[in-house]
Amino acid sequence: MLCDDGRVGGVARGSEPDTARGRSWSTSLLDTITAEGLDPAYRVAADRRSVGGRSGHRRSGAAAGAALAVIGLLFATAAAQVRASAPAEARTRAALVDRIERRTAETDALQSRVAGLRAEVARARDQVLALTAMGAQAAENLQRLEQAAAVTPVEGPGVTVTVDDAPADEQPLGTEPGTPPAAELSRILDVDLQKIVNALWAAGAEAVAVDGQRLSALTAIRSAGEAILVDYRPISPPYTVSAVADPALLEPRFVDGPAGRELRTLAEVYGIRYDVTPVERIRLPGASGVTLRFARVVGAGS
Amino acid sequence: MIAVLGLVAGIVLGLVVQPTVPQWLQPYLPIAVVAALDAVFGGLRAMLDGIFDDKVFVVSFVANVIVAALVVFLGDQLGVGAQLSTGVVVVLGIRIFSNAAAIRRHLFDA
Repeated sequence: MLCDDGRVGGVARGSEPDTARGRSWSTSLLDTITAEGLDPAYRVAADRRSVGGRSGHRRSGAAAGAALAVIGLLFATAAAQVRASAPAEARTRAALVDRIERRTAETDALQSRVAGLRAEVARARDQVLALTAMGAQAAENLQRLEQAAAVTPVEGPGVTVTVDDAPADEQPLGTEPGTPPAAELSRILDVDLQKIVNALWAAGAEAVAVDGQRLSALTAIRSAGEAILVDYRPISPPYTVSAVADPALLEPRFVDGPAGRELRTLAEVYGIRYDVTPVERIRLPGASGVTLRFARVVGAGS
Repeated sequence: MIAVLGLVAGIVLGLVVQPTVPQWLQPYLPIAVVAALDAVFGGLRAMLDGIFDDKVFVVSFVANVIVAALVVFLGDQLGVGAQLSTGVVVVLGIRIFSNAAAIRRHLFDA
């Protein structure tokens, strides 16, 4: 299709070569573009010169040299401009990264200040409440309620249940048609974690935490897409569910209960890994983000 | 010979002087570079074919640059600047490649 002998419209159709004007426009656009790569004016000028009896080409005159000088100038300017703007872009990016880091540090500082102020408020409150008998009673009630609401950290012996997705190379046995694809079934779902937590509560746990997130009455375990969220914070496998209780009582009740059976079935059929271990000492942090919603003046209609 | 000297002189001059391109001209610089490349490759192929003519070369270079800049300018005014610019670059690129293929056949008989 490409003729390099200067002939235009190089598809061999058996007809004589014709100029650009006489060529049929039914040739495709790409043919046109590639065939006219060599400016037809060159061929026309050469023909005209050979007709006039002079040599077939007229090599580099001054005009060509001047045009090439301009072209060289153009290339050099464009290249220089690209090099000049590159540091500017790098500087902008570095400035943005710096701003992000500074704001993150500011946020962290503010959060730690909030935690410190909260602790100060609690201390002052306890001091004031300890001054009167009614205040001491209120303080005792408050402590009881805070423990129930999982605000205070808890420490003691307990049990740790660790669950993990099936290893990538293990295939679940016999998935039936109509069930979700194998990859989904060999992952731990939020309902699995919910069942484990519920079973731990039912077996007598005093406090439960998932991956270090203490569960309060308002904490949700849900999934968003493929990730599991505990208290709207994403966690990743392997998942650790810790419970504070007497391990001698908790462990057999959990393992023999419905959750233990379910975990065994999941391990057999889908290859999910799990482990139940008693621990001598666990410390579970208090639930974060607990807001005060309801308060009443002491002595007024209590 | 004069041609090559002219090209080298232009490049050296550009690197030394480092002219600052005015702001309104900057979007057309890349398209002018591609148009210039097309003219250079066309001239090189014509030279190897034995039909080089410097008047045709100068006219083709100037016309290429002006037409390409005009098309891009028109596109900017009508809101299709990026697409027209892409189209111009594609067409000029195809011409550059077909000329380069012819040059390669001349140089290496391959």
